[in-house]
Amino acid sequence: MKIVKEKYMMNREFLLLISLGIIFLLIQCEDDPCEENLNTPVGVTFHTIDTNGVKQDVAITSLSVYALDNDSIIADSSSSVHELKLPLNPHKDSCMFILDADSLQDSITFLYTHDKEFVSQDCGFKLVYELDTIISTGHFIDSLNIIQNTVNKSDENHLEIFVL
Amino acid sequence: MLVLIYIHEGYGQKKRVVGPNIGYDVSQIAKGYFYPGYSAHVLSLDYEIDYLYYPVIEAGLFDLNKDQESMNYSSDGRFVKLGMDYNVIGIQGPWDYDMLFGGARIGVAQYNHSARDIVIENNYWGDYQADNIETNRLNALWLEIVAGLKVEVLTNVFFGWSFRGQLMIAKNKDDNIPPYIIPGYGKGDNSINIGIQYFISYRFPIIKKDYKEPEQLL
Repeated sequence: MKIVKEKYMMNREFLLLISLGIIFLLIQCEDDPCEENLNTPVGVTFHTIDTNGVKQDVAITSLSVYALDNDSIIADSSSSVHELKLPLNPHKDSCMFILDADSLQDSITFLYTHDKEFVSQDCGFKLVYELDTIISTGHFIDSLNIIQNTVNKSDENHLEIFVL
Repeated sequence: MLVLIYIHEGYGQKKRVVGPNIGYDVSQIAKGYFYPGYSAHVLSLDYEIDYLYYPVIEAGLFDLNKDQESMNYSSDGRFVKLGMDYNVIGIQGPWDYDMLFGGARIGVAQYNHSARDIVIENNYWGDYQADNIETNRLNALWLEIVAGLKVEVLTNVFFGWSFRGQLMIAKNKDDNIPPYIIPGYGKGDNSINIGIQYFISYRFPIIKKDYKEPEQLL
């Protein structure tokens, strides 16, 4: 039994054509810009304890915030603030912020370590901070409550400040 | 699958060139064009057995230098793949070398990679420059399924392309930075990769064998 295989149906020109054509399929683009927020500030919220001993959210009016060694203002006094993002200094292992509410002034000092963490090829790395100690003065701040020590995202809260 | 061979009449003792066939992966040139800093050279060597079986060795060198604002990532390495192709459409005669093939490979790679000039942007305190990362002698082992075609466009000159499905079996982990590209494999994050390769090859007419008239090969 002589059988000419299926091959006779595929003539050489056809094979050659798809052979050449396929090279255009190799073109594939993929360089995406980094769209992730790589900042890892400490997320701070302000609270008070009401007469029933229940925690309440509170907004501080005309609060201005800045770091001790930095002229840039993190929050100016124009609006009232319940939430605050404090950028820790990656060049040092401690960092002091001044909170100025009307005439009352307090400072908060953070002691921390940090390490870099890979995010993606497009974004590179971000810094992850591990909060060690937080100290504050007590003119309008009553107490501090650390919710979580690891600061590795831009949109999380880490510290509750209870005000008098 | 039963493949029967159709024999042309009117020849005396027919000879068939079995190899060696040496190919160069031209798709790597295209990749280098579209990904700045990417460069790879891949050679293949195969040999025909019983008109249908082609043991294959593929080997390559790879180099990547990705310079970005956030870091300068570079990687270099080499790989070897061993395997076999099978011509699923058989041959029509001693003169016929075109093939539609399926096959498999096992691949191993060894590579180094590093991230230098790592800059973490900080608008408030000023950008932070982190320590370099450098990891050497990472390994990977994977399995490949191949399907493609190969056409003899000129005597002894072949164009051919193949689809590849790759399955990672084992690889070293790097906790500091995952490998971006594993030589011969592709995206290092993926446990399954799909790719296309495009080979141009030359069959050196060195080893010839008598063409037996097989009643059937399988």
